[in-house]
Amino acid sequence: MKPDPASLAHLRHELRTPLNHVLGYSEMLLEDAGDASALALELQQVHDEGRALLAVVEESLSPARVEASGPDLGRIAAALSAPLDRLGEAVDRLGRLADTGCVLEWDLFGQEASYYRLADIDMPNDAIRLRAIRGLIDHGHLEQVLISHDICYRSRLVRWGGHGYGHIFANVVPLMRRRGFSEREIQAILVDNPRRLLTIV
Amino acid sequence: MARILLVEDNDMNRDMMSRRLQRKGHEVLMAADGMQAILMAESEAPDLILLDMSLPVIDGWEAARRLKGSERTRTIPIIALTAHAMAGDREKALATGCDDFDTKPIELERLLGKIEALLTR
Repeated sequence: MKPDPASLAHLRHELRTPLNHVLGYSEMLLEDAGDASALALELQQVHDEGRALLAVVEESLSPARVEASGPDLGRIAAALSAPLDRLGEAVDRLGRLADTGCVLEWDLFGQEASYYRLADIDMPNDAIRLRAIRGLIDHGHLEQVLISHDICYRSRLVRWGGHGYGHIFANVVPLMRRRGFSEREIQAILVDNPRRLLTIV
Repeated sequence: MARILLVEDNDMNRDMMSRRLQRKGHEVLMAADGMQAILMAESEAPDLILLDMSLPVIDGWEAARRLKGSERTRTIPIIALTAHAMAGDREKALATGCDDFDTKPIELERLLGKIEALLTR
């Protein structure tokens, strides 16, 4: 089945736009990373994978190809499915929980370790926490999100080498902005939701 | 370096593009829809406009037509940007009055070359 030109243009737009984010941000971060650093190697891998996905989109959804034989959606699905499945599973799980009406709170902002001693779950870092929250917001659950950090040890204070009480405002909010959270969403998570949920009268 | 009006409705595109242009020394003004772009072009008189064509309120095609039809903004160079990247988009953009055209994902060096060419012509 061949899509009409408007649908094809829309599909190309929807697939190329997030790749613009992947490629643009990775190129920008590569400018800051030293050429031989471990970070640079990982960023280059992200960039290369983004380029490879773009090539798949270009080839499978080229107007000439679509005109000749229809879009190669199977190839696109195969190329995108693994990373999208991993992200989708996590978002779906949280989404089903939020659908029940409960509020979800992400604690431990500032804990960047991927391993937490004796934990039964894999410990997320701040970026993964925000990615999960982004998924919930996209599913219409903005008003059910709270975040916090846990300053329960002396070692979590700045003077003892920890992230400190200012971490969310100093580091997480800029990270939210870099990751596309709007000011309205940040206001909801940091001010409106806690005020509504935690005010006791 | 130039004052560039970046017209883009996608938050992440706007953030990323504005930061990359600022790193190259440009001053970046931002608008998120076509109507806001027209108003800012009139009030701020930027040196150049980067205009996404898929915009809310007034789309980029109509915004380009109005900008090029207005005495106050017709001389401001416009580079049309689109992620559709369909055959004919370039010709359509130039016919609308845009001065150049590029596709997203952006290749920054190529885009900077086009900006430079338009600012020095």
